[in-house]
Amino acid sequence: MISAGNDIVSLTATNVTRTKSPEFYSKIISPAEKALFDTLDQEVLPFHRFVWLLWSVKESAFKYLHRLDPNIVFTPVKFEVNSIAVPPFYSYTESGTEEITGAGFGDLPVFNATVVFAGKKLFSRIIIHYEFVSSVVNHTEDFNEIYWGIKRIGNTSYKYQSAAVRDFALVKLREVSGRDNISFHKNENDVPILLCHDKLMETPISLSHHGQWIAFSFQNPVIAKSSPSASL
Amino acid sequence: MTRQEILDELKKVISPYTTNKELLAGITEETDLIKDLKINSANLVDIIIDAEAKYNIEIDYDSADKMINVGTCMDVISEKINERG
Repeated sequence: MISAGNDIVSLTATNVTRTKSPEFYSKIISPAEKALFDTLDQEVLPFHRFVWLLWSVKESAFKYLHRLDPNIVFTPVKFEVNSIAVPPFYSYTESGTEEITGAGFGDLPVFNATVVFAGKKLFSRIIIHYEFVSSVVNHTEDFNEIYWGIKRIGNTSYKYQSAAVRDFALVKLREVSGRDNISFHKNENDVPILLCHDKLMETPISLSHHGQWIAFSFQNPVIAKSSPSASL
Repeated sequence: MTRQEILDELKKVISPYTTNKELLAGITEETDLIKDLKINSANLVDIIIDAEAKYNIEIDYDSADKMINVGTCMDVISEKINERG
């Protein structure tokens, strides 16, 4: 069940007042998740950030599972986040973050969450910065083989975001795999796939962009198979 | 409301969330909100909330699931307007 799922939300591109309105958040979070919020330290995780944390985790989980089962539909309230652990001594990073990459999350101050959809449980690691919420999910709690990156960009047009996140991910892919000539394509379900010298790579990858932020995550191993199955 | 009236109003609802105004002007029922209009998924809830306010309707989760392209959005809105009476 190896897949990849990530998401990034630019908090500066969200509407704080609207997010706090029940008409809005009730489309994203369930009553049980609202009850979960009431158990958390709200100075550490104000409601606006809580809602977008949940959105991000749910979107990541959807991407992870949709790659495996293209028939899955994204209904946010049906992806239920049932635990959130706040990192010790947590405080927001207000500035200085332009680009971060990693393999696993080591000692980084990340939030841990679990999310369940149709009986399938996934684990998530979330970085909350002053300007963004970014999440990655996995089917186990071991994230050491998951490579990820987050970067600020200067142009928020869709075309630029889309190209920038691919270029950003390719740098890490080349570094990890030791191969160049890697290219992005999409399969018949509009899911991103990777080819290396026209051979399909067994490297599930997930891309996300919102506002001035782009992010990727992918799983090792990087192994080329014999035949491509891409819509080129 | 006629289907054309729903489409005209739907364009106004979608407009703030897409930068592709040229495509928006020429949308068809097959136009996909994410793939074609490049609307960020984080804005899909905004569109549902704005549509609810615009048409004085309530869109439940299962109906929201169907709102993938312009035609299915119009179907859901039309259905909810009829239910409202």
